[in-house]
Amino acid sequence: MGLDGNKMLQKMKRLSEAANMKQVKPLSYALFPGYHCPLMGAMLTIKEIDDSVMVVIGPDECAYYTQLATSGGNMKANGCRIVSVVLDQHDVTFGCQEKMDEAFAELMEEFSPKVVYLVTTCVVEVTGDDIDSMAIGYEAEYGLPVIVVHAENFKTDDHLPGIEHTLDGSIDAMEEQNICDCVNILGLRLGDFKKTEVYGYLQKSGIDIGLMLPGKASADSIRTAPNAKCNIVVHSVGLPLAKEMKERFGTPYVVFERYSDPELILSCYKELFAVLDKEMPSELENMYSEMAEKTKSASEILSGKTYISGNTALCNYELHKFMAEKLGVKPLLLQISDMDDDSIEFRKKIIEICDPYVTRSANLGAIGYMYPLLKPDFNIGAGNQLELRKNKIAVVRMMNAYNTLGFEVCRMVIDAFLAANKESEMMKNGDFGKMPHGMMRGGMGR
Amino acid sequence: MSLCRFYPTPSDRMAIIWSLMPIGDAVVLEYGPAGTTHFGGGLYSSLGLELGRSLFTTHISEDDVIMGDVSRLENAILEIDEAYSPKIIFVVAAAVIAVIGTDVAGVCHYMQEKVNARLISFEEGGFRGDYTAGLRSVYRMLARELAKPAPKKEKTYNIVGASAGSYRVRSDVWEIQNLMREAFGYECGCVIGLESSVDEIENMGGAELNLVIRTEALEAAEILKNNCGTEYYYGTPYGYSGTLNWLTEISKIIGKEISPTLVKRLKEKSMYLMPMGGPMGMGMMGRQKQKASVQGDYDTLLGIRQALEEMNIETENLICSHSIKAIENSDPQIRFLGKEKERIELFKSLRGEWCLGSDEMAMFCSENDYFTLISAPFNSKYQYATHLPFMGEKGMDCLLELKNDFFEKFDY
Repeated sequence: MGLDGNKMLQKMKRLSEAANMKQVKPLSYALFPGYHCPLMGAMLTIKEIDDSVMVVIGPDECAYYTQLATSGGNMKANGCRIVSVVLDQHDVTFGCQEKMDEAFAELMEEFSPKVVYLVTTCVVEVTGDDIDSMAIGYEAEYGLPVIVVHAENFKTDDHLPGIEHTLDGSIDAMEEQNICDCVNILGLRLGDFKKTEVYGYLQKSGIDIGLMLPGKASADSIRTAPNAKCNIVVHSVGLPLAKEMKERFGTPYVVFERYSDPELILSCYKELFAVLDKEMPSELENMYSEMAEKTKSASEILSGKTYISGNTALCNYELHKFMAEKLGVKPLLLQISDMDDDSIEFRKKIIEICDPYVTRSANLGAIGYMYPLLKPDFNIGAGNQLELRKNKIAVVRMMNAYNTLGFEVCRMVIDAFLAANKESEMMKNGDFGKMPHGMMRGGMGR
Repeated sequence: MSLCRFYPTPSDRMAIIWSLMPIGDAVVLEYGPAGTTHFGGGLYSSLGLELGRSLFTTHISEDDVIMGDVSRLENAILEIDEAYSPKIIFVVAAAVIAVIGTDVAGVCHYMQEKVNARLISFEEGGFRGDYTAGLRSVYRMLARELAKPAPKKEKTYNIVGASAGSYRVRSDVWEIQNLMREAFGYECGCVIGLESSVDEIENMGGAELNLVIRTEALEAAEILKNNCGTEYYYGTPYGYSGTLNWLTEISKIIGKEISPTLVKRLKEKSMYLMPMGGPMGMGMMGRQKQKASVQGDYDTLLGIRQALEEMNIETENLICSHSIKAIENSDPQIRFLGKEKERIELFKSLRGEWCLGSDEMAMFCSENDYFTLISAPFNSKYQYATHLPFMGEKGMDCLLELKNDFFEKFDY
């Protein structure tokens, strides 16, 4: 009983055969747990914005789950108040303007926010209530920025558009400022930028951090964000806002994602310090040489190995390009959720070298059927832990990935693969007893 | 009062899913955006439901929403049928699918001939009422569509109307099963609303009696009575006297005596609570009646009130967590405050009371109250135990201990 892995593999496309996500098929038609939705992405971002109110507009289910997710644990909303306008049959039929007006007046009276995010869901996007116009009306009436985040789930396969739309919508809460020696960090989805290598070098050069979005932000830090000397885009979700800020406020930006390849990292550093009009610290050149050497040595050990990958905290296609091109470790199957234009060059290079299978992400039940057929050495990102172990596939653990940026990413990637390689050899030799405690646990999710 | 500050009342659809998921040999397939399923997984696992191979989603795209493409649903049905061979696939439409009006029942109808599993659809989408409407819908469907007449099996009964959404429901079911075993030597056939297999539900018509523990299950009990000839008793055992009364009513229906040992024990414990009945009762003499406010499901409110009365505590407020419109001749003391703000104001106004309710009540009753979690939402608590009921003898033992804490806190 179960799915037919061979059938699934036959239907699967190669990376070269898929020009867009529509052409990428899921492993199975029945998914579990399925993708996160943009509402989740919006929630993760807005809940960290002090003096804000997030209004979920949708059926009681969307409102309930958002409350459930943020009512405790590490997802708890801190400076933000999360509320909802629950739509019933009447609102669906006759529109929700009246209810929205009443709810907005209530939230203004009770919470006195400095910025309000109206987050839509599937139902309200289908019924066509004009939430954007309502927001304009509330801005005029109450004199504060009201930002609409369109978070319908039927246009996307993951939660990232929710983050992206929260970010680019926030530009309407920004005001022209005098420029000072600080940078904004755009797109850091999880983790702490202040723990990264890049932060350390910025500090040494006398550069402060302005707005971090996503991150611990406030209505005021968003308002004053155009005072930054430049924006550093650490993930593509921050790119639309960076482009918009460049156009509206003239703020330059540097794309400096969690790249693995030392050459690319060095060029990012060079570009960053050039934009900041500061001299690049000399030790960065030394670090580049060290990482280039480390890459070369690791390739002698790892070359010829293979892996399956889910989404990771890194720049995914760049990671796969680096693995295939510089380390000789080839991806056999990539579980993906986007094929954006920004990564097209990375994809071209991957195709030149190995052309892996591609499927949609977040289908942990079905992915287990691929392990015995593809027989990879390693797994990166989310995986079916039980099946991975059964098939002696080592997990690549990069647990600190969210707190890295710069050459430390390269070091972490190589070290994680070398550790996984040892684990793989032990598993294949049946040396389970020698494996350190916790080695069989999960890897790095998205 | 259109703003919802905390949890909205769960919808019919949510209850449909949490009531169908525990059915063994069946699969719940959500036709809708995957994000809802992923997000919902957090709730369902907090209710103690097993997620593996019990819940799937098709996900949807703009093609489904704009063009009415149902091929994802068709393919998912075929795939689940082939891969997992469930006896039933419950196809549950998401809110957005209900809004655009996709004919999910129609798809299931023409797909039925292509699969071995039985296809049963739910098209409510979350717009036909609160969770009690969903519970009604599931109980009714199981009674009408699955349960079959069967030769009567002596000394067996079913529990009809459990809900995974109720706090400590598995403990309460465990206590009912203990009571029925000790009182009459009866064994439980199946529990409608919690873990039961398709076979068990199909064969539930063979039981002598159905114990209805929620008002929402009364319609299902009537269907079972008409179709399978099974008598039913509606009520819940709370408090010592309440439990004995409950057993007495059951005894009348099945024509069996209650175990004398159990009767003696419950009577003794009950006497202990009476003024002059013992140290606990003596302590109550001359004291002013203390007050309690309770928030929960309709039947929980009735039961807890019974237990509080036995402890000589006056119930000042009985706030129902769901609409009571559908309940015929509902108890006049029980109120449903549909507006969140009214509930918050009420909870904030309580002083020196025993507050028994949900996380929402806990948030607003003051430090000058004594709080006990008894109802949903209960996100603040994970339920490991299945032997800590509020119902029955053991439930009353527990409530008595809590009452003592309440009295100690305020030096009553």
